[in-house]
Amino acid sequence: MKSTNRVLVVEDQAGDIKWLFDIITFRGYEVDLATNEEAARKLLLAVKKGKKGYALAIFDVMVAIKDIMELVDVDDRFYKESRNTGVRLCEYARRELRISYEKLPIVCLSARDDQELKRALANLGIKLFDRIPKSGSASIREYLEKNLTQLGP
Amino acid sequence: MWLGSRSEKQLQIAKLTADLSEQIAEQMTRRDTGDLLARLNRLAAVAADLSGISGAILLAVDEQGYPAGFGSRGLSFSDEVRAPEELLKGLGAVQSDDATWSPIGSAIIKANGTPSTRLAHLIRADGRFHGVLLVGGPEDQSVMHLSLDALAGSVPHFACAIHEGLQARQLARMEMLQKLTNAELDRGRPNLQNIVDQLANIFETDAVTILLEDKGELRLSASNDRRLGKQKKVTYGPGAGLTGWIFENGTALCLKNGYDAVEIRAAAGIERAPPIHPETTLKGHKIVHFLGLPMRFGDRVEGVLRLWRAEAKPHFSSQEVSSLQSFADLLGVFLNHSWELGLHKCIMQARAEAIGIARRDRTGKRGSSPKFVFANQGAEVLFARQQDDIIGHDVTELYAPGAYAYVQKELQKAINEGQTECGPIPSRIIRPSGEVRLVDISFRFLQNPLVQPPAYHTIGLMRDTTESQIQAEQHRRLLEMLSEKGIAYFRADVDGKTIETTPAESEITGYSQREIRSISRKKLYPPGQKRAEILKRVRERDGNLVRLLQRFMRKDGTIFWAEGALRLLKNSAGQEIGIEGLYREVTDRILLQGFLDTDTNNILKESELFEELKRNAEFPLDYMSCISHQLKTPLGSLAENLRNIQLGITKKAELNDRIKYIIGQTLICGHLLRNLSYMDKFLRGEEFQRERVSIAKLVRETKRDFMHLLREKHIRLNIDNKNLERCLIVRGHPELLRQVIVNLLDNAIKYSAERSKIDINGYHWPEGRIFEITNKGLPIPEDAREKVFTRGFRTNAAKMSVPHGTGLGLWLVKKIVDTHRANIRCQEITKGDERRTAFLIVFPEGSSSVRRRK
Repeated sequence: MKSTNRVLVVEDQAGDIKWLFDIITFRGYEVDLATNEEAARKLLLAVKKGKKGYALAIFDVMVAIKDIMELVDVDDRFYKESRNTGVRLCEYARRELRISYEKLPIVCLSARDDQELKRALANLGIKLFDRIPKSGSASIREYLEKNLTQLGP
Repeated sequence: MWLGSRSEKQLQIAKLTADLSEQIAEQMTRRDTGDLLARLNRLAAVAADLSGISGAILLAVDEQGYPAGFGSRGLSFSDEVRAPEELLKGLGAVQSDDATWSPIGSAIIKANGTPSTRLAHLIRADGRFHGVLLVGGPEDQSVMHLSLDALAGSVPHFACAIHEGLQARQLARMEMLQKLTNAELDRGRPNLQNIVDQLANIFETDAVTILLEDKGELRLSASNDRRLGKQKKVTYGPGAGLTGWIFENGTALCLKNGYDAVEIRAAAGIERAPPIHPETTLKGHKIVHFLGLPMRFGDRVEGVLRLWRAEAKPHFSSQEVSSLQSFADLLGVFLNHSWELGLHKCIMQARAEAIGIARRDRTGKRGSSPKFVFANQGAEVLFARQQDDIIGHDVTELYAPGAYAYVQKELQKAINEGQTECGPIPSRIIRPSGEVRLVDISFRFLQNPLVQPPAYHTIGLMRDTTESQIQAEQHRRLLEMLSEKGIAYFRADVDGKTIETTPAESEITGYSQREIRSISRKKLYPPGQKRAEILKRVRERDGNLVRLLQRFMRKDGTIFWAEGALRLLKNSAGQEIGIEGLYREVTDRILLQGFLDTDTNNILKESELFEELKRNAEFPLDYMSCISHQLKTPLGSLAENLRNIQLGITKKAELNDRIKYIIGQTLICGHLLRNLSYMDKFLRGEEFQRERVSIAKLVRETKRDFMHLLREKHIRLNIDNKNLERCLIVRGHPELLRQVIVNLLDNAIKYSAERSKIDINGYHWPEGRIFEITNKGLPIPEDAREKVFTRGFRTNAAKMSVPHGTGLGLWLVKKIVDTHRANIRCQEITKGDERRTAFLIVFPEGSSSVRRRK
């Protein structure tokens, strides 16, 4: 992990935000939260530019494209499907911005566990955690306990 | 001493004879309607008026030589002469060819002032015997010598007068008989009492009686001897007495003396005891001349016409016998069908299994019970007895002990009320084995008024209900169970009149049980839909039509869809006697499955249905992945939040907030699951019960469940409680309506901007009572405002702002609203500068907004 004490969380579900926030702060880190794809892109761009640095980025695979009020008058021509926002963000970071693993480790969190999603993320070398992990398989909680070690127990 | 010379004397005689014949001719030409006796009296008067003659009797004799009547003046038969034939016997000596005056004994003639001379002269002409002229006069015969000679000379004229008189009487009688026949035939049902009275008058008889056959014996029908039958019942079995002999042989019997055993033996070959039911003259005199005539119809003897004349009257002549026999036969033909045919018709019409006919007489002994006189094959089966073993039995013997008393009471009641039929009366009969069977008996009463006293026939139509009562009980229980499931049952006759119905049918159709029974079932079909066509379809399917989906019309004119089965009912002869059916209302289900075009109330066409089914089939696949995702997300978050609390990771200051949030999310999960469960129930066509629902209360309760989400986005939810309470108390299914509010509020929160307001209002509007929920947030484009209620549809903006969504919420809302006969629409409203998205539910005004349900 980088020496920075901040974690980037891209998540729009209030419940998830709460528990992720609890764990991360408990381990002595701080959270930067993006609740939609657009906000997350801005933060990633800032990372590329060196204006922001994170010890870890956690992406929910499905988040909103934009803030609701910005979608009020959105034209259908700008429609983007929101099923794979997390994957798009990973591609944006790794392929477009060329932010390396060393610079920003990224993990994904999803309720989806379909092959298409798994393959897309594996191609980018990004770990996918299930929201409700099967017994015995790795959980994001364990991952965070192992990797966020700045102040943690 | 003879007066004058012989030639002078002859001249005088000739003159006197000419006068006499003129007077006789004058009597003959007088038209006197065939009254023979009046004519004879006048002729006797002519003779008695001659000089020296104190009185005369003219006795007429018919072609057989029997006395046909006599007329008299100043002279009469002595009391010892009881019949003119005795006189004729006494005149045996004078019955020679010598046409001379012969003296006769004082025993025969009685005269005013006792005539000393009594002479008789036979009246013969053309080789035939026509009668006798008897005269009386003083001891000195010479004073009437001329007169006697003149009378003797006038014998041919007397003979002619008698002959004419007899013929006139015969013609007059025939004419009267014909009139009587015509009058009685015109009447339709003959008045037998009138017939006997008229016959007695026409034929100058002392007793006329008609006896008619009834179940193998002759019974008194009418008599001019009113005393007959008063003492005891007048019946004759075949061969019983003279009447019974005629009944048995179908032959007429004419007797000079019905008391004369010798004559009877000679005529009928039977030994005859004294009459069984003797008639007498009105004065109580014995009557002896007997004429009995069978009333025939082919081989059958329908009855006997019986006539008697008193001793002093003439025998029945052969002419009388033949004309009366024709009349009796005519009567027989006429009476034949009036009673028997009626009875048989009655039996033929009966469709019961067992028919028994019992007969009783009203004059029968008190407490005596009727006897069986007829039983058909059905009765044999039911009673387990042969016909012979049924007929003749007192009906009480075939009823189970004590059962007849109730039947008798009901019968008596019906008879007293003048009913011609009664029943069905439930009762019990007993078989020889002692086995008791339950029966329903319908009765018809027939009275044979032609016999005296009238015979009462009770025709019992009996149905064995032992098995059917058990079945009836099962049937009743089955219907109860079906009713509980909301399935209606009905049974109707061929004319479409409902015979049986169940409360469920009232619930569905809105007609009361009584109304259903009184209206034709055609009324349940909407205009343009013919019941006859449905029946035709049933017939085409061998009388059984299952899974019929059909539109019907409620009492209030609204249309409903019913699914059910119809079955034709047939009797054992295969004749259609009605129809029965089971059905339940499926309007809701059809609406929810989207098969019903709500504008036309018609089910989607086959092609449309196919599209719908295709969508249905594809839908679950998409839907299941959506739903699993939608459930997994909050559940995962719940688990992780709880674990944080367990591990002490959550800060103490945050604990309270976290727990509230967890509880809130749990409830949201519950609502989400409920969407699934209702969808499943609707698709399976499950029925929902309805009650009075306060929308305001539902809104308040729902708000509590969503508090954590409202707080999260800092949204204010304003509820117009007062107006909701005032306007929106509806009849409906509370949990379904709650789901409507849950889904609408869930959407409003999801698509609202942070720190905005959601308003829920209620108000009256001309189109109905309105529930309105508005929010500021993601707008719904105009072209999508109808589509949002389609299953699976989401606007692009919605998909972009909220990735987790199923497109199920609004679809379900619309379905639920539809089943409440309400409407929902989406529109955009402007409040000041603010554009707000609004969902409006319009409930129709009044209680009719929701259909009557349990």
